[in-house]
Amino acid sequence: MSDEEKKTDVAVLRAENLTKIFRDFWRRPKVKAVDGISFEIRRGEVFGVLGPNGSGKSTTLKMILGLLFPTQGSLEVLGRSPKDVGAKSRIGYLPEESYLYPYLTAEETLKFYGSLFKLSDKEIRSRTDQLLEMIGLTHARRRTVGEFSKGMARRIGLAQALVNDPDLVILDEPTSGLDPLGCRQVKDLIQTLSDRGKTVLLSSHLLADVEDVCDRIAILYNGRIQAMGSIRDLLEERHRVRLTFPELGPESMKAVLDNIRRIAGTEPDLDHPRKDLERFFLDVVAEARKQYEQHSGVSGSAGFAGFLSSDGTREKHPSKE
Amino acid sequence: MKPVFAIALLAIRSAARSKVIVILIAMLLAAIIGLPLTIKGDGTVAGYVQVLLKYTLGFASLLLSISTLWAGCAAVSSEIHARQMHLVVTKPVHRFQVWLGKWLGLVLMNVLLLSLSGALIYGLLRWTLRPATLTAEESRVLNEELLIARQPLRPVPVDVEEPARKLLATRMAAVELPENVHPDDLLNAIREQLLRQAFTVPPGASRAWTFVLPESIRNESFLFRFRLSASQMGATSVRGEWTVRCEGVDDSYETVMVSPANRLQSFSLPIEYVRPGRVLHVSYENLHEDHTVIFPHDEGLIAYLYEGDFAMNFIRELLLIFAQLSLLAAVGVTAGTLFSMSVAALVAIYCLIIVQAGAYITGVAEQSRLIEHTGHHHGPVVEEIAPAGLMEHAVKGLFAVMSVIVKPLQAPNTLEWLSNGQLVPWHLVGETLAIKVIVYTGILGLLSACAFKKKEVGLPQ
Ligand SMILES: Nc1ncnc2c1ncn2[C@@H]1O[C@H](COP(=O)(O)OP(=O)(O)OP(=O)(O)O)[C@@H](O)[C@H]1O
Ligand SMILES: [Mg+2]
Repeated sequence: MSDEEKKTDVAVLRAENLTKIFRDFWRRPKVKAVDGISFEIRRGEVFGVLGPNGSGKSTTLKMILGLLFPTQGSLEVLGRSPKDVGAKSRIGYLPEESYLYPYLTAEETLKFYGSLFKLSDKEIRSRTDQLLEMIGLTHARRRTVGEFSKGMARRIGLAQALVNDPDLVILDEPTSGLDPLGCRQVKDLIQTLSDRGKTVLLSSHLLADVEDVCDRIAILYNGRIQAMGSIRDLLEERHRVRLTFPELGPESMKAVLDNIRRIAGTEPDLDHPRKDLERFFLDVVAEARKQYEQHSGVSGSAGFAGFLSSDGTREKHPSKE
Repeated sequence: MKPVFAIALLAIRSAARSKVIVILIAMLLAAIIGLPLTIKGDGTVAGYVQVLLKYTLGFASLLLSISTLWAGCAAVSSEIHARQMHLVVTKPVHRFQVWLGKWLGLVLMNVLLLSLSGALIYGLLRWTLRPATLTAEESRVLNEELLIARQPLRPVPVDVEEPARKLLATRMAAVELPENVHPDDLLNAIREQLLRQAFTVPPGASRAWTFVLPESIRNESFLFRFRLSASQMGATSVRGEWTVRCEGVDDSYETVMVSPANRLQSFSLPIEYVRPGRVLHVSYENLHEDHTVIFPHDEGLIAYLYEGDFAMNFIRELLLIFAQLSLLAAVGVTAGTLFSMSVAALVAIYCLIIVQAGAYITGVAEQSRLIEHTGHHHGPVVEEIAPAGLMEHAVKGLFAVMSVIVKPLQAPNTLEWLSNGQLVPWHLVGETLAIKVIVYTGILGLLSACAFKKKEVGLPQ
């Protein structure tokens, strides 16, 4: 992380001994979905909650958002209780599936959520335009979201989570349903948000995504935190090193390897570095895009919405009426 | 208020785009145009006006009531079910605003549909009853009696209390009362007998009514409506003479009428025969040789004073329907906030039935209070049979509570008034709007806001 200085020790979110037990109609306990977890997220951090299906990720996020009430434990979000309506103007939320109104158009959807934040009409219009541009759906702005593909709807969901320029962004499996292009974009977006001092909390079971963007992670299993810490601390194999250099002739190569054998006393692993599939896919699509400027899906986007970018000219938060 | 309007607009968009509104409008149109074609009145203009107003306006209001209740139940519950609510309650929006927005959306749609139906019915009425198609008498009836707003003025009631008590005293002095007859019951019987006598007019005799006229009277003719029955079986009509004389007026107005039995009849009195604030004497002389005439004592003779034109009366009736629809919207949205769609629909229908049975409930509550206070009630004695246990007290308490809730919602049948040319008064409209749209809707709104706050929206429904 190049901008370690932006991260402070101010806790944006604090959970202590958080527990959720789902009960049946007669209030008998049914499932212990979250089991006494404690963690803290600091301002500017990208925090990932990892875990297999049914491990309690969504349940945790929903408690943070006030959609579910904890059975036990305490929660403090932006210094307030999750039930507090006031704090919601600084939070953006992308749920695990896009729960949009199928009869609204893309544009109307963003305007609707914008007005829930009491933004001015002018502000709503300009942010809607910028966000549609960012998610590459400007050309589909007048189509109803009911007819969108899963990934297109997901992009709208992401845009609505950002319409208030939130300080805390909570994303439940942000890359699910997105094409690799979208995934890359979301990851870049998270990076941008974090650079601007925003705090991001995301859940995922796609490890590669998490590895790319998160500063810290917690791994949940069966409602409990099994491991937590910074990615670097958790993954780095400090006692091993990888070198990369251009292909050498057989003579020079043998000399290098002999030297390593002699000095390290072990046999080194040798292979060709590969492009990862993501990189490869992005290159192919970039090539193809040059040929098809017109199509019905998601078009290429022009970077990030201006009001989200890191030029420091961010608007003040809408004041409460 | 911005979020509230956004949510209201959303509700309207949802109705518009799901074609619900289109279908509702089609159904309203079909009913308003179709009903008068299929239902034939009695062939008179009065009959036609009754059909058009009572049935079509009644149908429109029923259809809107049911759809409002249903849409209200669905408004919040379906969004919790489909989880769209997750994205609303995680925004800086109070639960009360969500409720208010949904309610407002429904109310606005009802305003639209009700004005549309109202305009259509009014236009149809004016068009089918245009002067060119009517006889002079039909036009007179229409303009004088039906498409008008008149305030009823009842005669000074006949006082039988004094004579009844006297008669009771003499009878009790004459004969010993049997064990199981209560003096009150006897008094009641005597009262009824005296009243019947007072409204019976033998051949050649006459009967008089007095009216106290209000201090200000509009400069339009009076209308008298009466109904009579003849004592003989098979008597179809009776000849009689009406005489109207007002204090301070030298002339009296006289008219001889042959009146069919058991049908509402009317005659009008030119305005020069009355003076405001004075007493009006009306008498009926039975000109038949052998039929005795009997007037029902509640609607024997009523005077109708001109108060205004039909159009405003029609609008006032629409406002009353609007108040009802707004309340139903509130009931529906509240039920849908508290429960899932199917439970909400059941609960809402249940509430509706209780309100409809309001007269019965208040009746039961009144009676049980009477029994407690006086230890006596009229009619057959039942309370000794069932022991007054805990259960009975609970039921009585429940009825008392329900009666308090339901009583302010009891409303007269103003649709009947409207189609009879009777005034739907502004004060009734004002009271109804205040009670239904402000008080009851407000209470329901607060109630559901509290319950909604305690609800875990994240749970599946
Ligand atoms: N409303 C509910 N009632 C009962 N049990 C529930 C409810 N919601 C979730 N659960 C249970 O709680 C546990 C955790 O669910 P949760 O949705 O948090 O998992 P998750 O980690 O988000 O999984 P996924 O990766 O599949 O999204 C699961 O066992 C699930 O069955
Ligand atoms: Mg999940």
